Amino acid sequence: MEDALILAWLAPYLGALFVLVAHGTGRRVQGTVSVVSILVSAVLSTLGLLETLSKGAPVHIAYSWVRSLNVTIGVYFDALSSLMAMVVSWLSFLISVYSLEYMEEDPSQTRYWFFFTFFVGSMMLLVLADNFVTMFIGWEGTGLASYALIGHWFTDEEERWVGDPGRRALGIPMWFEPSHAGLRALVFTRIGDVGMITGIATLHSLIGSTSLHAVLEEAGTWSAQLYSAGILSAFLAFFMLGALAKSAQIPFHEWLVTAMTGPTSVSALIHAATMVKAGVYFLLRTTPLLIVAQHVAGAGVHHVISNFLYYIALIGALTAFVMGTMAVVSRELKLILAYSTASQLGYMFLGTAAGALTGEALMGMAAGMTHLMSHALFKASLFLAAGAVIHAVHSRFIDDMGGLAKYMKLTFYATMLAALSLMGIPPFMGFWTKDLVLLAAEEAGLSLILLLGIAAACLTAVYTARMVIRVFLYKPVGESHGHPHEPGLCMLLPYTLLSLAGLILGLSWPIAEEEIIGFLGKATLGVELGELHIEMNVAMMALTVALVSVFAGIPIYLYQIKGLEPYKAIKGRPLLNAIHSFLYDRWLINSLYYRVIVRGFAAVSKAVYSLWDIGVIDRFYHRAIPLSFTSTATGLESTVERAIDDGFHVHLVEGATSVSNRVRQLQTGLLNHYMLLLWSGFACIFLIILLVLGVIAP
Amino acid sequence: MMDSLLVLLLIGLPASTALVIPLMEKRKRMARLTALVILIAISFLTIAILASLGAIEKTGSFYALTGISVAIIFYATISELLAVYGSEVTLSWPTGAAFQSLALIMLTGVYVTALSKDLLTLISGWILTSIASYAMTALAKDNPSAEGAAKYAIMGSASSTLLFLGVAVTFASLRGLDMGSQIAAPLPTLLLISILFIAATGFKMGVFPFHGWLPDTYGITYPAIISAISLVAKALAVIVLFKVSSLLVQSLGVNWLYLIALFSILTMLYGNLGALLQNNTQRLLAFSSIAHAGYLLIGFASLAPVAGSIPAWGLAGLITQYAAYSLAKVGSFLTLSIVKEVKGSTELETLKGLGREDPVLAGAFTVLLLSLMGMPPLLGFWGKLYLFASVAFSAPWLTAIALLNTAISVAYYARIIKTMYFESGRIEMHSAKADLKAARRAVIVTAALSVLLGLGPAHVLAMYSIK
Repeated sequence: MEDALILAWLAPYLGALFVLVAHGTGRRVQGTVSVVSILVSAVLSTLGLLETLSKGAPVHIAYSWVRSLNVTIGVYFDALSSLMAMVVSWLSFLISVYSLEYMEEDPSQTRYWFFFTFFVGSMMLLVLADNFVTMFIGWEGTGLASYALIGHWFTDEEERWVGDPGRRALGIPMWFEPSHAGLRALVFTRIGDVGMITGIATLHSLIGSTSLHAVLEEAGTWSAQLYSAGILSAFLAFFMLGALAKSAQIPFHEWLVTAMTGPTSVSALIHAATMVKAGVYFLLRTTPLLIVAQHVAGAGVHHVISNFLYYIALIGALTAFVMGTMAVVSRELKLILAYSTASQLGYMFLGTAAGALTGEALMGMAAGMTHLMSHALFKASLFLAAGAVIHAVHSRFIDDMGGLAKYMKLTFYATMLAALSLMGIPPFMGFWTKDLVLLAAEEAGLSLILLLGIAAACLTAVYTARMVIRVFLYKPVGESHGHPHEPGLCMLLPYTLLSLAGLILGLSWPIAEEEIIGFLGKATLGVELGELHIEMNVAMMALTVALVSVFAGIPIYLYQIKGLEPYKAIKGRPLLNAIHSFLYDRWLINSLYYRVIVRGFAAVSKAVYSLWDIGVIDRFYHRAIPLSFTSTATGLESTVERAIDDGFHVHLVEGATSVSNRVRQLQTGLLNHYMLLLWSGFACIFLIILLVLGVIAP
Repeated sequence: MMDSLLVLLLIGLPASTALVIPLMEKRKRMARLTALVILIAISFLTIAILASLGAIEKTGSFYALTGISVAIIFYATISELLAVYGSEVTLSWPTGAAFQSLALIMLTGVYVTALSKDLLTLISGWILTSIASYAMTALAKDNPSAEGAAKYAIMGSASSTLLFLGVAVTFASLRGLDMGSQIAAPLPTLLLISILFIAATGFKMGVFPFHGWLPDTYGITYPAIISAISLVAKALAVIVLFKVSSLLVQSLGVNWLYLIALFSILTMLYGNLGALLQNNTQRLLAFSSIAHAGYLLIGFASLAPVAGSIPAWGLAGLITQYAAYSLAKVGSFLTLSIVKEVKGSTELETLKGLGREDPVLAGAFTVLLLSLMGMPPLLGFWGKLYLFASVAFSAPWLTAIALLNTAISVAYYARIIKTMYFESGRIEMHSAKADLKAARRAVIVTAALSVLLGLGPAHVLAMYSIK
């Protein structure tokens, strides 16, 4: 019976297959197949979670798959993966239900549902994998599907773009078509994947297996070996590169921003529940391994891993802060949410790494995982609600929105709940989990990182409040389109439910938190991680709440009380304008990438093309060889051929002519000449013969 | 007894007929017919003699027959038959039936030399043919013929002197005139005798440097006359040289090979190079005759007792090549006599358009030229093949030079063919006189024989003659 749990990832794959087979049947059949298959996955994930809970130990089903690599396939439900699988599958289910309505009029139903379902299957495979190879396969499946889903509207109509058409930063266009954005997502994540598979291959070559258990058991071996070879830091960096890229941590965050070209349901799927969380999940999966390695191996290894975790935490904090600044100025609703996602992912990295650095094995997992779950809930809700809003006003710019609270009450309330959670206002779930992250940083004694984290929290309060006000409360700045109205139930229900779940979970968090963390401590990887006693830092908690409230008050004050016109204050103030542009152009990082990497690469390839391809190869094949042949031919023609020609057609003819003429001249027609010739010839020949034979001596 | 009778008939028939024909001065056609009938009879007679030989040599009380001599006179006879048949035009000449009579006398001389057992008989046959041919050359009674005849006669006297001298020295060495044994004498003497005989016979064939008369005589004299003379002169020379060579080759050994090869090479080169740029077809064919004398000498070179030499092939080559030569020369000179009657000249350009105006004649002429060139499977090819192969192992250089000369000869024969077929011009064949019809027929017959004999009969005859 347990074997049926494999359907947790197999069902969506089968569903994807059915979607392909059912091509042409339209949304009702294909959509339903997809939704049902994801529901099956969700139900089985729940069963898996319950099984793990009741057993108090991981549920492991494995079939031998690739023997040469010692790779198995199956499902691995431990505390971490079963919680993650729950989040992924149920959110995917809700988003798929949302898609039924949202993608109603899209002509490419097969493509959408196939990749959507395939994506969910890959994500579930990734989550439930018991070894890194299978995990990598799921990992790549999500990458492929994300490329297709982000570029779903590959015909590149302007309304599908991200960014301001015509805007340039450092001469680089700051608008992105879906096809371009899909490619960016693929390229950015692929850079990390190369590092990741290098790390997996290193592990396999060291311990002959990539299963989580084997890597855990041999943690002391491989870490010591790598350390003695002096490449442990490099290995860790490579190994984690895939996670950093997938989770859009600086400097790989660019792809996530432009991934907003996909349908909003896809944005919700990728950004709230699945793909970008894969990186965090990978970090959560490997952190216990690193901590075990730290404990088993010597001090050197301990030091290297600590350093590594510190840098991960720093990257996370930087990402949280930098992306928060960008969100403050963004004009596109989905873009704000995208920046926010990257920022929150930074929190998760920060929490996980900092938690691991506290010395308590469970702290990192607790901080990272709980924030992942709460973020999944409120961000999915926000995205789905945003989709409804964009759908309603036919514009992605918040300037074109405003005052929507009147027309879309339920959506407004749902957004409000989720936004409060995002801002970290008690008692919403987001408050608790963010607090845990900051607590981890504080306990680990990382002051700089803690400061960045708090700053990011303030920024979050600012941009979230700004977003809610501009969309629902403030008057529209641009033109409003038609009469906005609430979407249908299929769209409305999912995000309403998610927002309510965030509230309920937040209210019950003090109890739930202990349960979840206890579960994580007991049943992760089948090792006892001990218990975690969270001592709340009330002072810090109070400080953050106060700061968040104050910062959330800024946009309320500016827009609602002072009635400030957006962008007006900036104009005429060069400093503010410069800062605004700098933030709006994403710290110019994108432009630098294009100027340095893309154009640099183009320049190098152009140089190679002109120097090597045209200069050497072309010249060789199209000039040197033909030239050498022509010159050889000409040379041969002028020397040998001409000589032969002359020999046969001139000299031979002339020679023959002259000889022939000479012969004919002998024929004078005069008899006395003939007689002379006869006698003298006779005499001469006779004499010569006698001489030659030696009969007479000269 | 039977043999003696046949031999007597061979000489008696032509000689007596030649004497009777002048009596038929008023009835020229009758005279012509008589000559033709006699020639046909002699042809059969030679076949009969050849059949009765039984061995390669047969020596009677007053005669000595060899297969090669008989084969040569057979071919000479049928060629002369065709020449006389084709020269119907001579009937209108004031000289009357002299042409037919002289043709028979010339042949009689050849027969006498072919039968001769001793040197005196040889000389008498030689003189008979020579004198008759001088007279014949002048028959057309125009200036060119007179000039040609004069040159021929004067140089012929000189060459005859050389022959007499050779006979005299031979007599001194042999202490007799019978040609039955080898001359045993010091090398200089042997060489002197050799060169004297080669000079004399070479004069008749056109061997360099004794050829002087030939281009002039053959080149300007009335073509029909030449068609009757050239084959006889060649036959006479081949027979005499063969007869005297049997006195010398064993004693001279390899020297004979070099001596003959020297003359052969000089002659081939001279003839072919001289022919190369000729613009007069008749003169071109005259030089071609010289070249063919060179080819024929190769057959004599093969008689030298040298390792690798194949005399049998050399003799077969002599016979076959002589047949090819005589038929081709009769046919081509008769063709030129037709052209000369129509256009009044034998310049090369007069042949323009012949291929279109008279395809049959042009085709026959082409076949004859190709036979002279040595194109398989024509008679001329087999002749050259036998000749060149006979010394291929003893003197490969000679074969090589001969092949080179053959290659040169292709050029001028091809020129004639090209002029006939590929150059536009008009030649009013229908205006030809009625008495040219026989010439035309004769040409066609020679061409047909050049093809048919090459396909088998010539080989049988040659092999039978030398077995």
